[in-house]
Amino acid sequence: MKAFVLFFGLLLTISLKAQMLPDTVSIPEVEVHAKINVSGAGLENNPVDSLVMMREAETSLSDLLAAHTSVFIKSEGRGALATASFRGTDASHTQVYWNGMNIQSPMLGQVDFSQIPVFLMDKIVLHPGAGSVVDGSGGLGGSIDLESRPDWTQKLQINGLAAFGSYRTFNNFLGIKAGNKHFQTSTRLYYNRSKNDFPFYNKNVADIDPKTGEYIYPLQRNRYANYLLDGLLQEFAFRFRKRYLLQINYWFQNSKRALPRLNTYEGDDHANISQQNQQTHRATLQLTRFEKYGRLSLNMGLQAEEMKYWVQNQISGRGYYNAVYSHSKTLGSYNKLEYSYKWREKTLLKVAYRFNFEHVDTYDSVSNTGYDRFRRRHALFASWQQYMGSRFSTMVLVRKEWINDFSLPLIPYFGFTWLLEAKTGLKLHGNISQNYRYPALNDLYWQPGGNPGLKPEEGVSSEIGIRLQPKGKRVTLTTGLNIFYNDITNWIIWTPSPLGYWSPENIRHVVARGFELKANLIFSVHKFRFFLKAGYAFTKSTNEGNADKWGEASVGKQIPYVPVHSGNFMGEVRWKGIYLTWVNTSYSERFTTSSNDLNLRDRLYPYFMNDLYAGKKFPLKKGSLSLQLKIYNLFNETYRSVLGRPMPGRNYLLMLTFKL
Amino acid sequence: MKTKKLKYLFLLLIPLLLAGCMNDNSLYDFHKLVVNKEGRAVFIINEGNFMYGNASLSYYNPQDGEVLNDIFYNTNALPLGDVATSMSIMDSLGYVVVNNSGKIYIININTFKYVGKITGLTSPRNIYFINRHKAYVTDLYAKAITIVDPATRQITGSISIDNHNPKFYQHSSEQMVFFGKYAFVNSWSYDNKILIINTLTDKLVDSITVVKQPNSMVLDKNNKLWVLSDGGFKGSAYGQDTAALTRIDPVSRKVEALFRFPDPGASPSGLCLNAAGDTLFFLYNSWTGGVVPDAGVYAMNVDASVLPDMPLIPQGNHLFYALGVDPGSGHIYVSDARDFLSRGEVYVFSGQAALLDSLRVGIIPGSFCFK
Repeated sequence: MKAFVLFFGLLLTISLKAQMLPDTVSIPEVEVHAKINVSGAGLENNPVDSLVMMREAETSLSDLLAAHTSVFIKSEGRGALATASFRGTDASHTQVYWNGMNIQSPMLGQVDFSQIPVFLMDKIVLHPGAGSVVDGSGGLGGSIDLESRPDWTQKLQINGLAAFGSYRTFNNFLGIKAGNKHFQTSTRLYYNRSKNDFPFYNKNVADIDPKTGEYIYPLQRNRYANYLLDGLLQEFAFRFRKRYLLQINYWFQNSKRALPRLNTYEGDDHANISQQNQQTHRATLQLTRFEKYGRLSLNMGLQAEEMKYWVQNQISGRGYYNAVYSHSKTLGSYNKLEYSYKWREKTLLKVAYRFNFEHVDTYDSVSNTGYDRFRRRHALFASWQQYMGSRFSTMVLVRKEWINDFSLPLIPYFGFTWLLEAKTGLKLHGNISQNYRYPALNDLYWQPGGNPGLKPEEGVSSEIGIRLQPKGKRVTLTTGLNIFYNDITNWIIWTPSPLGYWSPENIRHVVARGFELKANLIFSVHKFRFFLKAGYAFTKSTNEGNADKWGEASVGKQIPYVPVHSGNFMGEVRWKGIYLTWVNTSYSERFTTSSNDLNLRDRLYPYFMNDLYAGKKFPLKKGSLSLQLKIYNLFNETYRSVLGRPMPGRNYLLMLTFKL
Repeated sequence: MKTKKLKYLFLLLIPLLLAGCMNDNSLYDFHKLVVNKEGRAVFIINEGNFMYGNASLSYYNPQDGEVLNDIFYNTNALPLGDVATSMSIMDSLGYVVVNNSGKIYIININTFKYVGKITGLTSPRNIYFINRHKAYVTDLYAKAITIVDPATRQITGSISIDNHNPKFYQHSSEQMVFFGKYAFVNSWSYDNKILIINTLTDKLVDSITVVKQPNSMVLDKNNKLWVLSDGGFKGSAYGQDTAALTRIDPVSRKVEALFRFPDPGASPSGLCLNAAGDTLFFLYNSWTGGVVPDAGVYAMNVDASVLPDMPLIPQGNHLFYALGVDPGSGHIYVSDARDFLSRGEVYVFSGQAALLDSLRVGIIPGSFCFK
C-alpha cells in the first residue's frame, strides 16, 4: 500500500499543480489515476474553475466556455448550434473527449457544445495546442476533456436545480449519488425546455410608410427557435481486490430543436421550416489494474447517434412537403489499452494501443442521396517522461495512426516543465508537436461534393508559458502567460459551385499565433470575500495561402470569425452566504469575410456582454439550499453574435439549487 | 494590510468601462449613398454566403468604369438578404430576387432606392414580366410558378407544376424563355424537363424531355430553343448523364440536335446569347471539385454542327462562376468567386475575348443584369 501511495505520489508530481506539493498527497487514488491521462511535462492544463462550474451548472458547455475561457464559441443564437475553437483554429480542430472517448460526430467532425449540459460533468479540462496529442490526433487547435469522477466519500446525496427563465425556459436537473468505499452509483436526470421566442425590433427588414416614406421596422419574435434537451447519465464505479477500479458510464440524450430563419426572411410563413432532432447514446467502460510500479487500463466506449434534419414547405393544396429530409445514423466504437510504468522514481513510461471503428449511414430521402461508410483507426502511442532533479521534467511522445489503409505520418511531441522557484511557484513550460487531422466522413463522402481525395490537415503547434503562484496567507494569486504559434496546412474548406453544390478542398494555409494572459485572485476585506478571474487573449490567425488562386485580398488576413482580442472577467463578492457575481465577455471585431472587408453590413462590431448573478445560500441541517437570480445582457443591448441572427435583450433566470 | 487589499477592488470596475459599447444603431444610422445614375449600367448580383444574409448588389458603369458596391445597403440601410439570385428590370424599376429570404426587393435603377417588395415567396429564383400586371416567379421548392402583380406587388396566383413524383421533389422552375404565348421553363433540380406554360391561361400545357438537369436556356435568332444540361452529379440517385447542349424547335417541341460533352466530369452552365442571337456562350468547368481540361468561356455559332473544342476565354487559374453577355455592347462578363468568403471579381471582355476591365464586387457574384 505504501508503494501504491508512492506511485501515485510520483504521478501527481508529474502533474503541474502538484509539483509544488509533493508531500501533501491526500487526493483519493481515483482522482490521481484520472490525472495521469491529462498531465505531462510541458502541457498547458486548464481545468475549469469549480466556482465557475457551480455558477453555470444549469447552462451548456458553450455558454460556460464563452463566458469564462479563451476558447472562442461561435453561436448561431440562444440554444442553437455552438462550436468551439482554440487559438485561432477551426471548430473542427477541437477534439472533445468524454471519459476518454472521442465524442465528435464522425460524420461532421465537430461537436455542438450547446448540447453538453455542464451539470453532467465533474471536471472539465482544456488542453490548448500541442497538449491535445496526449489524448489523440486531430486536435490541431486543442482538446477538451469531460470527466466523471466518483466521490468515494459519498454515502447518499441528492442534489439538483430547478431554473425558470425568460421566454418560457425551464432547466431542471436532479442528481442522486450513493455508495460506499467500494461501490458508487450516480444518477443524473435532466429536463430542459425553452420556447425561446424572445422579442426584437427587426431593423433588417422594413415597410415603407406610404405617407411619410419613413421605414417601419417590425417588432418580431424569434420564431421557430424552441428547443428541448432531456437525458440521463448513469455512472457506476467499483473498487475491488484492492487493485482494480471499474467505471461504467452511460449517457442518453434526446434533443429537439427548431432552426429559426434568418432575420431577413420575408418569405412564405409556411415555407422554410426546419427542425433537427437528435438522440444520442454514449457508454464507456474503464477498467484499471494498479500494480506496484505499473498501471494497466482498458477503456471501451460506444457512441450511437441518430439525427433527423428536415426542411418543409407548404405546397398549396397538398400540405407540407419535405424539401430536405436527412436521416443519419452514426456508430462509433473507441477502445484503448494502456500500460504505464514508473521506473526508478523519475521515469514514467507509457504505451497504448487504440482501436476505433466509425460508421456513418446518412441518407436524404428527398434527393435520394447519401452514403454508407465506415472506417477503422488503429493507433500506437508511447511516451517517456523524465525528471531531471526535482524541478525539471521533460516528455517525449510519439503517436502513429492508420486509418483504413491510410498511414498517417508520425505524430511527435516534446515538452518540458521547469519549476524555477518553489516559493513563488514560478514555472516555465514549453511544448511542440506535429499533428494531423484526418477528414471527417462528410468531407470525404458527402453526396454531392464529398472529396475522397482530401489529404489530412497538418499542423505544427508550439507554445511557451510562464506561471506564477505565490503563496500568500490571505491572498491567493495565480497568473500565467502563454505564447503560442500554430501553423496549419492543407486546411479543409468547403466551397460552393453555381446552383448549390458544395465541395471541400485542402486549400488553406493558416498561421495562428498570439498570447494568453490569465489571473485569478482570491482575497478578503473585512467579512467580504472576493474572487476575481480575468483572461485576455491576443490571436493573430492569418491566411497564408496561395494568392494566385484565392485572391491577394485574402492573403495575410485574419481568419473569419476569429477575434484578435478576446477577454473574460468574472468578479464575485460573498458576504454571509450572499453573493454577487459579474461576468463580462468581450471580443474585438470579428470579420465575416476572408479579406476582412470593412463594410457595415457584414460587420460584427466589438462584443461586450455583461451578466449579473445574485444569490443566497441557506445552509440546512444536512446540505444546503441556494436561490440565484441571473440577469443576462444586463444593459439590454442589441447586438449580433453572427450575421443574420437576432439575439435576446435583457433576460432573467431564477434558479433554486439544493444539496441534501 | 486591509487598505492594501482595497487596491484590488479597482479591478472590479474594469467591466464598467466596457459596458454599453455595442452600438448596433451604427448599422442603420449612417450617411447613406445618394446618387442618380442614369444611362447604361451593369448590375452584379452577389449571392453572398448561404445563411449569412450577406447578399449584395454592385453597380458598374461600362463607359467610365465606375464601380459602386453594396449599393442596396448603402442607399437603403437594409441588408439585401440571404442568397440574391437574379435581377430583372421593368421600366425604371429593378426587381432583385432574394432566394433564401423568400422575397423580391424592388429598387429604382437610377437611385437604387428601395421602393417596395414582393414577399411571401417560397424559394424564388427569377422573375419574368408578362405584362404590367403579370409576372412569373420561378421557384426551387414551391412546385409552382408564382404569379405576381408588379403594380400592386402582391401574389395573385400560382401555376402548379407538381408532378406528384414520390421519388424526387419535382418540378422546380429555374429560367424562362418566351416564344409566342408560351413560356418554356427548365426544371433543373433532379429533373429533365422543359415545361411549357400558356401565358394567357396560366396553365401548364406540355413538357419536353431533355438531358438531365437543364440549368439554362436561350432562344436564338432562328427561333430555336437551346438548353444546356449539366447531367447531374456522380453518385446521384437520379443518375448521372454526360452534359449536353440541346436544340429544340419550340413550334414542334421536338429535339432537333443534341451536342454531348464527352467528359463526364464537366458541368457546363450559364448559357447566354449575344444581341444578334447568332452566338451562344457558356461556361465549361467542373462543379464538384474535379478539373476538366480546357475549362473556360466557350462561344458557339448557332449554326455550328459540332461543339467548339477550345475556349474563347480560358479559365486559367480562375474558377469561373457566372457568365453574362451585354446585349448592348456584346461584352462578355465573367465572375470569379475566389475563395467564396471574400469579395469576388468580375472580368469584362470584348466579344473577341480581349480583357477590357476587371472589378472587385461583392461576395459570390452570381448573375448580371444589364440596364
